[in-house]
Amino acid sequence: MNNTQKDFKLLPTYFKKIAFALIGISAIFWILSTTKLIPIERELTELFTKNIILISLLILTISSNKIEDELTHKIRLKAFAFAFISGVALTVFGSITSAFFSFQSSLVNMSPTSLLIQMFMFYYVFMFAVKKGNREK
Amino acid sequence: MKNRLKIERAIKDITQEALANKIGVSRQTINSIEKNRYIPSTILALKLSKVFDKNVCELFELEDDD
Repeated sequence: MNNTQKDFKLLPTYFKKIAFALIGISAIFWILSTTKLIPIERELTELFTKNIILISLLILTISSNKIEDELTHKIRLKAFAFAFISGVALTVFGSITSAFFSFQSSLVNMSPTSLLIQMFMFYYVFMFAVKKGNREK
Repeated sequence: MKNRLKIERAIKDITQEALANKIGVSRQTINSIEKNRYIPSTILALKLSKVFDKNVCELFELEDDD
């Protein structure tokens, strides 16, 4: 791996476990609060859960794989680009849809947190598809 | 770009996994190079040439459309 690739700093692999643990904790918290086992307001639960999930997804994304090489970096960068373009496309599509059809779609009212979570999803879908494609061909 | 990686690997009788371990990449990377789906960096090409004790030009060859 050359110096430019070494400059592509990622968190150590064990951070993936931390991210999954955080997702688990937020899921348990959400279940406990919706079943009224913990008396917490719904807005507060949503705020907590969404933000923890967002942080977890970010940690998952910037944690290195067991084997990190130049092909992985290339796929990672392509996935970032795909997620960013999809996020912009989703936002623009939402605005155009509401302007032409004059209805408030969920795409227009999407919060920044939801948009970012969807962008992470696009990132993972791309990564999964490319890795699976590489294995099968 | 075509390459002789698979042939050279067969001559040396080493698996994709063993080759990947020798040069510090994943088996998928070796597989992608062999299938011409990924063109390696200069550093990786030089590492491969060192393993097979061949010039880079002997391992990789430009095609007309490159």
